[in-house]
Amino acid sequence: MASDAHPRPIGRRVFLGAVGIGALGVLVGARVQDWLERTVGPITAKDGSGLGALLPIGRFRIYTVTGDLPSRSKSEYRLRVDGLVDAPFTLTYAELRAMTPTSLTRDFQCVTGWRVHDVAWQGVRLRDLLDRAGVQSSAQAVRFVSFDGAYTESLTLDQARRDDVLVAYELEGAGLSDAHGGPVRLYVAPMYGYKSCKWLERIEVTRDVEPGYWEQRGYDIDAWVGRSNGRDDDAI
Amino acid sequence: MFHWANAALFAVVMLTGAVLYIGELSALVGRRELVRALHVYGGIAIAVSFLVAVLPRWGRPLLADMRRLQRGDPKFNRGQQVNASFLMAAVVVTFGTGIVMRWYEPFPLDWRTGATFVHDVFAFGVWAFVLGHVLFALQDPAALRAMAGRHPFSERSGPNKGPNRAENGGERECPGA
Repeated sequence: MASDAHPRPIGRRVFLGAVGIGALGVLVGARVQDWLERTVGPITAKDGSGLGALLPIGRFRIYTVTGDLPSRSKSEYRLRVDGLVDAPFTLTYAELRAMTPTSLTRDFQCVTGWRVHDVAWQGVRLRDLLDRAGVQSSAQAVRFVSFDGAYTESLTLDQARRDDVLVAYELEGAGLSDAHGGPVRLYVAPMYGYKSCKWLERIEVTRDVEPGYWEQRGYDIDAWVGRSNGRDDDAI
Repeated sequence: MFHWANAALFAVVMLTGAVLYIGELSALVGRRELVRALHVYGGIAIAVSFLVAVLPRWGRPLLADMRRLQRGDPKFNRGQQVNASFLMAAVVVTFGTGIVMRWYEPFPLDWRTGATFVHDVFAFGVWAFVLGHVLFALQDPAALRAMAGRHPFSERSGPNKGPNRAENGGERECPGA
């Protein structure tokens, strides 16, 4: 080697150092990120807007699968509950807000890895809406339709009746923005983010679970955090 | 040619990456599945292009430059050495973490979260180094001539046949040296 000829070549050190940090980061990055989120996080916004929110700690990624950002004003918004029910109905935004609210604070976890800690949600329990419509005995599942015109999701009836499944209209104490699926979206706390259908406009009670948008593209239909999509360890 | 193919691929992954990461851009562009596919396959293309570029014969110029980088050869100044070495490391790291993010099933959830975090941090590094690299190149007439294919070291058919031959002690892999 001619390495003596030129003092302190740094190419190899930079390369190996960076690769080493990258590999180590895969193993401990989740903990580093959690720590940063607790220390630096309070001064950055969680909703993915603003310069501080560009930092890769505890921030939402904004997914929209169609060509634009779906948007509907609160006054135009309607939520339809129908399918295998005794009394289908349609709610306005104000009527939904008038129902008994439920608040939940949970981590939001994407199946691909990104997570946001302690996100505060408020909405109406899906179960309350189903009970109001009167689910028929032949029904086994619930399907959710987004007004983006493309996205759908499904839950089994048992999953849909859980306490931690909301039809949500508030995130971190503010009305849901267009980017986060407002004015009203589904929030399925124990499952990966793709279950939480944004821009919710229709809840259809069905006989069978129908694979949703990402599920037709390979994701598991039961999306339990930590217990699906290749993993069966404890849900976080 | 390698440089420009690579530059185009870097532009693709950097821009699509920004669209996937920055909420305002995600909202503006939409079509997540398409953007994601461009990003994933652009990244794979970069990895493939590096593999092709170190094949015998085609790879000679790149391999020679990599050896120069290891040695600290004065063909590259300190900043260029750090830049090239970091970007090569970033290709390896973002490729590996990208695989974990896209084909996540075999990996524990914490690894996926770690891989996402590392991928994001290195993406910031790639943006900083590539922007720096472009800005420095634009200020340097010799670099601009080199990009136009009129580099003094590669004037004739192949690379490394120029005056630097003698000063770095000769390259064994170059016939005619």
